[in-house]
Amino acid sequence: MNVLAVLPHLASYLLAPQPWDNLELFFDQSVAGIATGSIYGLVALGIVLIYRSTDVINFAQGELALFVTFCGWSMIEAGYPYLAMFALVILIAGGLGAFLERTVIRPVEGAPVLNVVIVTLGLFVIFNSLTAFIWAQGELPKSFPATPIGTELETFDFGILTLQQHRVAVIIISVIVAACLYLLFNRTKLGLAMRGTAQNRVAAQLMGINTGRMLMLGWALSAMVGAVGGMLVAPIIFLDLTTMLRVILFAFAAAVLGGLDSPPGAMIGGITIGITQNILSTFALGPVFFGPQLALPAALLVLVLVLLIRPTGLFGRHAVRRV
Amino acid sequence: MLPGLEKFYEFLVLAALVGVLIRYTPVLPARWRVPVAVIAVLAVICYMPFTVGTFRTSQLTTITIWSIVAIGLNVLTGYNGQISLGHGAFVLIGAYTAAILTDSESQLGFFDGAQWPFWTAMIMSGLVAAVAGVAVGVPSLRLTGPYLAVATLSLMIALPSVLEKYDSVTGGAQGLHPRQPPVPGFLDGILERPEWFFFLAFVTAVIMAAIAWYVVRSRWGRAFVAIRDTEVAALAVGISVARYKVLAFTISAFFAGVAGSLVALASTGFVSPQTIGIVLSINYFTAIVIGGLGSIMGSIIGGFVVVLLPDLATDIGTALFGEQRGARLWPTIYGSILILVIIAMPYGVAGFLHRAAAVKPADIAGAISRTPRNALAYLADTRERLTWRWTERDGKRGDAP
Amino acid sequence: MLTVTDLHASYGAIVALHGISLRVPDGQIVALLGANGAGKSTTLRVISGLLRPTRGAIDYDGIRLHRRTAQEIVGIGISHVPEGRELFMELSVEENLRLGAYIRRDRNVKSDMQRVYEYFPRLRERHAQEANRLSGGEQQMLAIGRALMSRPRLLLLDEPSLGLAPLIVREIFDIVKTINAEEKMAVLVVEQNVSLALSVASYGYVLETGSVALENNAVALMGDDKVRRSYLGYEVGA
Repeated sequence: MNVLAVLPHLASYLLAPQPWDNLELFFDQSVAGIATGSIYGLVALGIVLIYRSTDVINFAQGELALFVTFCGWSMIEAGYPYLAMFALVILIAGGLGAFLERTVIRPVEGAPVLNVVIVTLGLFVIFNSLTAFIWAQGELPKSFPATPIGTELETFDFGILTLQQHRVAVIIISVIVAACLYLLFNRTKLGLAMRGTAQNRVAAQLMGINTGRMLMLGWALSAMVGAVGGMLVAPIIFLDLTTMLRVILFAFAAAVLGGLDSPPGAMIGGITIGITQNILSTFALGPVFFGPQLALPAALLVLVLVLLIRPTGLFGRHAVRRV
Repeated sequence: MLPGLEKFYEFLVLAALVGVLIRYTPVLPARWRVPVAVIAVLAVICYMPFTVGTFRTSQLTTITIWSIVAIGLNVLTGYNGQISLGHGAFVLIGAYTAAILTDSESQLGFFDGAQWPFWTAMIMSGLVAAVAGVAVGVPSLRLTGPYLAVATLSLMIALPSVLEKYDSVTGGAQGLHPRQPPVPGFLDGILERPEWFFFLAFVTAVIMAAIAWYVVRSRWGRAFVAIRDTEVAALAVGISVARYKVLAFTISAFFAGVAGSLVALASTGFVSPQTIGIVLSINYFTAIVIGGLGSIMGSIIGGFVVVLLPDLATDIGTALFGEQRGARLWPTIYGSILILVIIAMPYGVAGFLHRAAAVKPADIAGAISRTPRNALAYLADTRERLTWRWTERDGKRGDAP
Repeated sequence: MLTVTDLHASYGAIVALHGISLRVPDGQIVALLGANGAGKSTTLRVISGLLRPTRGAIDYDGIRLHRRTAQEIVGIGISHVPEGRELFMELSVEENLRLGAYIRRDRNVKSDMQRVYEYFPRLRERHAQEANRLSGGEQQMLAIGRALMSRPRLLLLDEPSLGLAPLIVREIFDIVKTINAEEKMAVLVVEQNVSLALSVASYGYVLETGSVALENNAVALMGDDKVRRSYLGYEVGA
């Protein structure tokens, strides 16, 4: 066997570009990583919002976002201004999330958790195919406009740093969304009631909280956050049937990395994965990682290693064991 | 026999009917019914390759292979309670092992022409996958539920790019063309190649199912179930939880590996990093939940679900929406069927059939006559739920103290 | 006044209550006594709307409760401190109290919270801590405090002594007595510690396997032979 064949590979890792060879590229890639990572984080946030109140991983998260983002594309085609489209898509997403919770998720309440997971897998397939059915007649992929803050191709110049405009926009909007959610959950009665419902439903009912409504709002909120993620990622990798598939897997990884019941963890997890992925796919980082070709496995290896040290993610609560 | 149905489905319906009839009518003594029903169903299926044509035969081969994966996964998830969404990775490992071991000189040149016989390669594939299973199972001891699910899924996502990277061993993105075993001499003239491949997979599946059947009824199986139900209590009665959890992973991976070798040798005759995709890997999980967790029959039903449900959905789609639109809308129908089945049968098809053992014909008639009413009740409930004022009644979570 | 008439309830196929009738007059403490599984907690769960009765009526000041949901019943002025406390374990003490006042729209929540802190000074010290960091006694205090935040006129108190040291139990019962006097709030308390419960209650009901076996005013119950033998551990005549 050609074991020796590994040696030239080893040599090539050492000769490949390393972060310290090109600091400008390193920073550029880091910012790009933060931007894509924020998008993973937003979608992961949607997953976390549902998981922590019902213990269900919503596999349909990404496809819901895909569906409403395509709705947004149609609105742009119909001549809506970007901001109106943005607001409408978020509204539609919220309505859709609430509708799904009441129509298909609620009836399987009380069934084994894995059954609910199957329902979300079913929704995943359904929304992907509906999107294909409605929008795949024309050309795919479709180009989706960037935010009014800046285009995908032009850059902002900040002296030493030159940043793509859309990346800056992504980071700004993600910060705004995260801040809004923080304020909702920590500064309002509604947010407190949602947290209470997620933690103890019986107690929440005894406090006079309409727990069913809180769970519905959780789904609505989750779909809305996901929709923002969809509209932000679409200008970068174009709008196609597989667009969100490429995001959702990393969003799962992000949610798990941060801890499935921790919203801040989801954002931090997303950004960590975004940066790791970008740096690994640009630099060889010596023989520790195995070069750009293995950026994906290496990023996932990082995830698994973190999980081995912290089995419920970086900020997750330890699972309570009941006898 | 039945109007509008393809011969292939006719036979499947026949097999199901024969099985259900023998199992549930009190003609035979009770303890003979199950084995006789199993043998009868298997006999019908064995006859199928000779009449349903090459395409359907190869589909049957695939069903058989995925059933092996599903049985293995069910040992892990259904009996032991560990969720894996990444079993496709073990299948892929098994497929590559078989492909490399039976390789002819031309591709990789490992063995100087001394390829392994197919059956030793199959066993070896299982063993290699089992070793991978230990390697995954040990770190998995720290993870539970969704964390384990995502960790195993990452394995499945990562593996293809690793296989592409080390192309000197794996043939890279081009993949490998293993030497498929020829029809053995004593069967020459009796079986065509596709039929031989089917029977190879079929016999393997029967053996593997028997092994699984034995395992889940052994001390090991009881330990698996005890751990699934309450890990702390299992620990308290002296079950070595860690050892059995790794064991479940190992057994499960062994099944996937053997199935993988069949993918290489009996099914496609071609192995590439894309042979098993992420969606297929998740579908194995869907299959066992729909088929029935903690049931070997459920796993086999799951094998049918993975392969045939998309077909069936397409047929329904074309019937409902016409050729063009039906072909594009089939996943919607597929997803809807998944959702409806899991709502109607919370413990999977096998769980449903299992309970059906106590069902009398009158009950079935009653159930059918109630179906429209239940559907209406669901619609009425839903209409009520779709209001802002709707609220939960009777704290569902905290029912019995 | 709370009036319960011929109450039946079951968990699936298991019947837990076979026709219970009881009354809790305004401003009084009534004890609900009995062994494990007698149906005490179930009675409270049905009154507070966590479980729907299969038969019977619950009436509070002319309002029929037995078809209402838990969230409506809090609004009517009945607050339930459930078995096992059911706190929001990952919320702070203060957040737990704020959720207790969830149904209120008035502006006096802040001052009521101060009042709860006056009854339970230990909660004030720990107002920023998560509920799961509190000791068992403090958790029970928080559960009672949280229930008070909705300004109930009737408090349903389920086994406040569960798993607590005798000194703390005494302290909690004293505070309950004080609150009852100061707030003119009626209390229906479920308790296994019969002598303790009867020391604060004015009236008592003894449940046995889902129905009322005995009822009388507290003093009479304390002197009852059967109660002394079964629940207080005295040998009669000894």
